[in-house]
Amino acid sequence: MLYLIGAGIYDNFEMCDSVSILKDCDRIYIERFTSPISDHFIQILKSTLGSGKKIEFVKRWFVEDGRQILDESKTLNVGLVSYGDPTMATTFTELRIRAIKNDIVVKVIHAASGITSLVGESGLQIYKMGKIVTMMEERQSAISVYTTIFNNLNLNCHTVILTEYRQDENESVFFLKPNDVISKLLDAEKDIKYEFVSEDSFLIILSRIGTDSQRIVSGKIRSLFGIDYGNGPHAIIFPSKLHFTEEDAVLNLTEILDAPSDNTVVIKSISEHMINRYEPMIRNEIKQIRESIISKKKENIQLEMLENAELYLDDAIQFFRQGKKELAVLSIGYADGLVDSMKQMLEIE
Amino acid sequence: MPKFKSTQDILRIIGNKDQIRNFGVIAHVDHGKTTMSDSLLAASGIISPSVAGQALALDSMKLEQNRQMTIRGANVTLYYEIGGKEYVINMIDTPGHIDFTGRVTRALRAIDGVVVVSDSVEGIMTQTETVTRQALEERVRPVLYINKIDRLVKELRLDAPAMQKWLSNIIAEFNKLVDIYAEPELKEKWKVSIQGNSVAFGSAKDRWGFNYNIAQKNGVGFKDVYDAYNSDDQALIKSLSEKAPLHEAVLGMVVQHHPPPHVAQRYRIPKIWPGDLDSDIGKSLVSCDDKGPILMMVTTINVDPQAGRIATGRLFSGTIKDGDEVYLIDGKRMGKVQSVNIYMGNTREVVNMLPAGNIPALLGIDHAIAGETFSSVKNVPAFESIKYVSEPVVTIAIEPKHPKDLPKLVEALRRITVEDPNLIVKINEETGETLLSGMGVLHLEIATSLILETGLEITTTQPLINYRETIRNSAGPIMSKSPNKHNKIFMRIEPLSEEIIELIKNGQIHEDLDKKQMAKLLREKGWSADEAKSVAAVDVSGNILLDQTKGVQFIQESMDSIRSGFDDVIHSGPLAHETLRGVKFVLHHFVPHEDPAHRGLAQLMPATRRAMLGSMLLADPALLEPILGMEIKCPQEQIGTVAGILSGKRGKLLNVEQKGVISIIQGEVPASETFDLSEVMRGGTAGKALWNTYFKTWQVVPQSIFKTLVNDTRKRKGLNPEPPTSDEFVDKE
Ligand SMILES: Nc1nc2c(ncn2[C@@H]2O[C@H](COP(=O)(O)OP(=O)(O)OP(=O)(O)O)[C@@H](O)[C@H]2O)c(=O)[nH]1
Ligand SMILES: [Mg+2]
Repeated sequence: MLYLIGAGIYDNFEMCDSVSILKDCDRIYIERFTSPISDHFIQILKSTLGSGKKIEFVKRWFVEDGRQILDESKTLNVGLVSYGDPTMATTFTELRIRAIKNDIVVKVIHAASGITSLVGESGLQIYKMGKIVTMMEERQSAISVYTTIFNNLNLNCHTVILTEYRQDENESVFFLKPNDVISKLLDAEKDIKYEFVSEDSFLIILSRIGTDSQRIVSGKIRSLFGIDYGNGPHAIIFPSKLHFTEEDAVLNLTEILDAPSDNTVVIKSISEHMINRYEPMIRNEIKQIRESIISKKKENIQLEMLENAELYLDDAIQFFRQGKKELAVLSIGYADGLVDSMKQMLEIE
Repeated sequence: MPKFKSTQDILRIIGNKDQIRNFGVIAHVDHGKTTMSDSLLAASGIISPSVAGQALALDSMKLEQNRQMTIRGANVTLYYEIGGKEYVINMIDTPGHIDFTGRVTRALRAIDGVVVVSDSVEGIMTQTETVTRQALEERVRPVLYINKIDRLVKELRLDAPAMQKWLSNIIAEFNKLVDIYAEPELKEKWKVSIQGNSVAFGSAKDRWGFNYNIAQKNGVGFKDVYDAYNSDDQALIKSLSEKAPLHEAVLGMVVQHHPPPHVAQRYRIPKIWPGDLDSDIGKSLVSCDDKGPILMMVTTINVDPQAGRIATGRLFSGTIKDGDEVYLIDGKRMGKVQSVNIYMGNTREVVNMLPAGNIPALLGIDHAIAGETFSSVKNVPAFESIKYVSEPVVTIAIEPKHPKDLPKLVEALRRITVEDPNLIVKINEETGETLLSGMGVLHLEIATSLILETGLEITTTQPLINYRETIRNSAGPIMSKSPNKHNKIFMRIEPLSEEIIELIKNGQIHEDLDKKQMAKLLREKGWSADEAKSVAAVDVSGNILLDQTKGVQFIQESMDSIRSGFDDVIHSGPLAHETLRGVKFVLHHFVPHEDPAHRGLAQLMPATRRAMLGSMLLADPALLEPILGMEIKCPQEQIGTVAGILSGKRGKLLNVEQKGVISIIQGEVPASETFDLSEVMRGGTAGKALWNTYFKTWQVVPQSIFKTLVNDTRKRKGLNPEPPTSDEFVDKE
């Protein structure tokens, strides 16, 4: 047996002794809306603190509103307990800043965060992480997730996709399922068409990290889709190109359904998408305009203009091959503009 | 004696389009449309002549017979012979009361000619003008029938020459309308005249009438009319109707001056159909081709207890048969025709099929609504739908006496709202009450009596007025944060001009409008290019949301949530939770949280709401109340009393006109003051005044009653009587 033990970030053991701090608190609030804290954890906390300590569960609006917490903190010691590291939730940072502005002293007890833990458990390097993004049940959020992954892949970065968790009015909890995330990504692909999500995309699905029933599965979408991943919380990593140490880690730390593969192979930049789409379109239009000019016996100047447009189009392709993507897009835009105005001049639909 | 014709005869005749006419009857309220139409019906062999004139068979609803006022357009197919030629004439009886003009316009789409009925004493009235204008705008050709000639003798004591002089004034007045509203190339041709045989005179009640041809042929004239009524000799009056039966005069004009469908469609289609005239369907429409694709515009929906929904309208192209599948262009779905019918009187006859140019009644298309276009080909442009956004101004709560009857009430309400789109049913989500809104107190009275007719026992509350909330100033940009404080919405606000509200109301600006076209329209109204192209939402009550953010991240994905905030606020303003009118919201800037988890609907919708409410409260908010126009007819000596009553009700007297012995008063009065108007008027004028009301405009509630009104409305809705202040919605940093 080998234990790897994190000592936290404190230079003084007492500083991270949350239990003694909570014992000193006049008010203790626990929130379970940013992420779930298990009933088991709460039982242990209660018995450790003793029956004399009242623990209040509070709702999202209570924390977001924050006025009562801040008011009480002016005269009392108030403890607010949440999942993971509190500074990872934007809500707490906002509350913290408001407190400081109101001359209230704030002390943060850091703890392992869900995000760093799940990155660690996946075996991927923290150095290669890109923007983190949450997939919500709301249809619109898939656009953000999809474009975030795309941008990260263009920078050769991995994407951690968190999934929606919410506590409904009747205390029941909702976790967005990994299968739903996958289908939302496939749907977004159909809409936005950057052509990088497919059945062959390689993902890592991490469920219930930190609990006894933690499970990590890796594979291609075609193998992952349809598996029952059980209760949440779930997260999904959409990796970029794996470093060989990462590949080794994934092979040893996860249940492997398919050998790891490189998701960046299919990535084309937006400029490439644009050039591919516009080139045939503009060529075709140039052809039509030329026919129309000839049939209507218009003056030479118009043929010259058209040739100009064609030259810009050729330039665009040339620039693109040379890797000068900005110049390529600029040129093709100019060609398109010329063609458009010629169409107007010649009254072509 | 009228001839009896079977459906078979009718089908044979319509094989030749020259022998078809589609016309309608329009008039000011009570001028005698229904009485006249019934005379025509009698002559067509569909009801017996002895009943016509009293039976009002066209007013098929019992209620209409009681009130003697037509409240829905029905379609009738008539038969008429003239000059040895047989004609099948489709007639549409349109409602005259101003509350219901939406239907007049729809009916006009289906017809090629109108008979304008005018009371001889009252002459051309406001509603005559409105409906005549609408007809001319749709390229529907008018002829004039001046009714109630008996009154000229009995009430005004005019002799024959005086009568003629009086009537020529009415004709001149009518031609003035043609001059103003007809298109230049039609003007001269479409003016009416006695010699041209496009004017007829008569008494619908006594079933006689003549035009120039008939007067010449049968030797009748104003002298005979004067003698008959001056002596009040029933035999003389009866002989008038024998010598000059009304239907001959009217149908004679219809056949002579109204075009058959294939002729009419040549010049009407380019006006009323927005598609490509050179396309297959375009050509078929212009030539009224039986063999072309089906294209039909639905003008009326009726609900029949046995047959279900019946969609009646004009078939402009193709032949429609039982079993045909058609696309509902606006509804974006398919429907199947179970049975093709035509109307004869208030009965429907099964005909199995009908060719272009006729007015079929189709059974089986459950999702049809009035204004819909049916087609056998997908992706054809719909008829420019006649858009008419109703603004119900009065609401009652309605409930069954016995709770077990609730399903029946729901069913009854469903039926009357399908038939009358100006009635709107809503459930109050807080109280569970069923609310029925309409265009005026009278409108709701009719609706409730329709429900009572079904045998249902119901109770209703006092009518409540629907107010609107608006602003009189600009404000902002102001900022509001989302509940989690991670998103900022910056909102600016301005009053929307009356011109733009009008464009929204008449459907020229709507959400599905092509962005470029919308921008063009708005630029013409003086908007900057930047504003004109940034419309994000249009609300039919007359409000607009613009997105003027520049290059903000995530705006597209967030727009739905922001939109929900807009939708919420426009139905529930800051002053009294009433609907908004005339507000232009400008989303000025948006600072979202990076992650979707923190900028979902639950965050952005309340943030948008707060920004909108907050900016409204800073922009000099006001409450608008509905003002009803009134037309009052009374003896001259009552004018003073009527004026007194109006001013006692915060109303105004706008104009008085003398028509013979009666005075016609135009006035206006806030709808909130009209609940006991009937009693007060009856009491004050000893029952000698007759009047009708119609929705006229929205007007700012006077300062003197503003505060009490806001407090009372809020209390009634279970709110804190004091409206909120902007501080509750506007965030400082
Ligand atoms: N004196 C006289 N009264 C008539 C004549 N024709 C109709 N009336 C009366 O005028 C009233 C209105 O007639 P309707 O035929 O119901 O009028 P309408 O135009 O259909 O009315 P709405 O449908 O309510 O607009 C009734 O009381 C008729 O009896 C007529 O020729 N002479
Ligand atoms: Mg009538």
